[in-house]
Amino acid sequence: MKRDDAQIPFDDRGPDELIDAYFDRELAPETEAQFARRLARDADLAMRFAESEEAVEAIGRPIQTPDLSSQILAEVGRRRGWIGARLQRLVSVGRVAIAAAILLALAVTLTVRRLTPDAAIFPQAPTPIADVADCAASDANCNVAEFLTAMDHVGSQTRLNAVRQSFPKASAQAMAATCIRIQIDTQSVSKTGAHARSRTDHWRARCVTVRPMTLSASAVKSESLKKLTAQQRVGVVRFAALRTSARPSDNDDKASTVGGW
Amino acid sequence: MTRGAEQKLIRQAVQGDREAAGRLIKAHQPSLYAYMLRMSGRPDVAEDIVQDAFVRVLTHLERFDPRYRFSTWLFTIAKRLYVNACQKHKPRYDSEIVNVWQSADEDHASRAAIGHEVRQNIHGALQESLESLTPIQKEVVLLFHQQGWSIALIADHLEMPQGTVKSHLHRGRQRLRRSLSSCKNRQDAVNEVLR
Repeated sequence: MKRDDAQIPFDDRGPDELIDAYFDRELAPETEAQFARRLARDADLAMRFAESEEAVEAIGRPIQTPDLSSQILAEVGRRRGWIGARLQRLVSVGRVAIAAAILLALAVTLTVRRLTPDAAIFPQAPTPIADVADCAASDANCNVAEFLTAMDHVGSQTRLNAVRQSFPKASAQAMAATCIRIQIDTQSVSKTGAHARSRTDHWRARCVTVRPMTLSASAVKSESLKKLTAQQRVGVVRFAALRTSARPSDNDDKASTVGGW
Repeated sequence: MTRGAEQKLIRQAVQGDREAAGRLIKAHQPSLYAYMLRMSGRPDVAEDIVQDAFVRVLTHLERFDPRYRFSTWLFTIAKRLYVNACQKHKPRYDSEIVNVWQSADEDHASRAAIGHEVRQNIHGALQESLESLTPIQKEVVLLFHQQGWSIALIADHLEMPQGTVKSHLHRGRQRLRRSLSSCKNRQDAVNEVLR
């Protein structure tokens, strides 16, 4: 329905103001209709409007533009260089690959941590190395020589698993602590001079008295200590000594003794 | 071109994509050239400024702040280059009108040529009328009517209040109307004599 003019507030602006408002796109639709009627009545306003419209239309008329892109690109290329499409794809793929590798490493780390939460936890309370022997003793079928050979060849990453295989009844925390402590506590092992020679692989080891060999762990059971044979005890201590000895000494050829056992 | 597409082209150009840079140039060159041609009145100056502005912008594209419009940044740099160029080249009116009158003597038989002349005359008169404006009036009128920028954007670009921008726009448009009308009357008189 068309609105009655009487309902529209009369715009009493001057002709130039009205023309400016029109070209500024600020006239309301109803005022615009009013303006159109006023243009029809006022010849002077209509002439000014037509001249302004012509000027505005001339300004907005398209201009033929020369193509400068090749000169611009050549100059920019000389200053900073462009990367070819193939190289650009390689850069993009490389970025994605690096990001994926980081994410994968993170995921693997988190998964390992979740599956073996005790793997990297150090013991809170020190435990004598005798407790390590408990583990060996608890497995009646454990062959100390095989265990030592296995331990001699495994890397740090798989050592825990090797220990676990050899001592199936020991807790994961105890085994992890065993591996770590045997490596770390080099200085806490005092040498007493005795050693034993293996018939099979000829490795040399110090027979030591392990004093405060701070091994974990509360979970290691010690009730089987007395069941160890002397050979088993020597083997276990050999293992510890093998990991801690720096070099053979003059005392290497002395007889084996296990101090404190 | 949408702003998202433009941002994507800018990112690609920053990484060294020549094709993306070329598309950016093609998208903005016509408007910048038209603006510079009207500002300077000289095609050679307009070409130099457009080329220089694009080279500078594309060389330092990594400095572009994506919160702002690319065209605003481009026009700002072009304007600074134009101000510098004005100190070297004295602006002069477009000589198109003179050229057109000279060519009219040689080829006035052709109706197509006459149509071309009429268009050239209008362009020449417009340029002459634009030269009657103050630099700021000319800039505001061109940005508003040629580039279609809003009052707010022009105010932001020129770092002045919107009211001031409107004032320049109104005065510039009125002066342009009067000047163009005067040129047209002069031209009609010449045409009358030549007929």
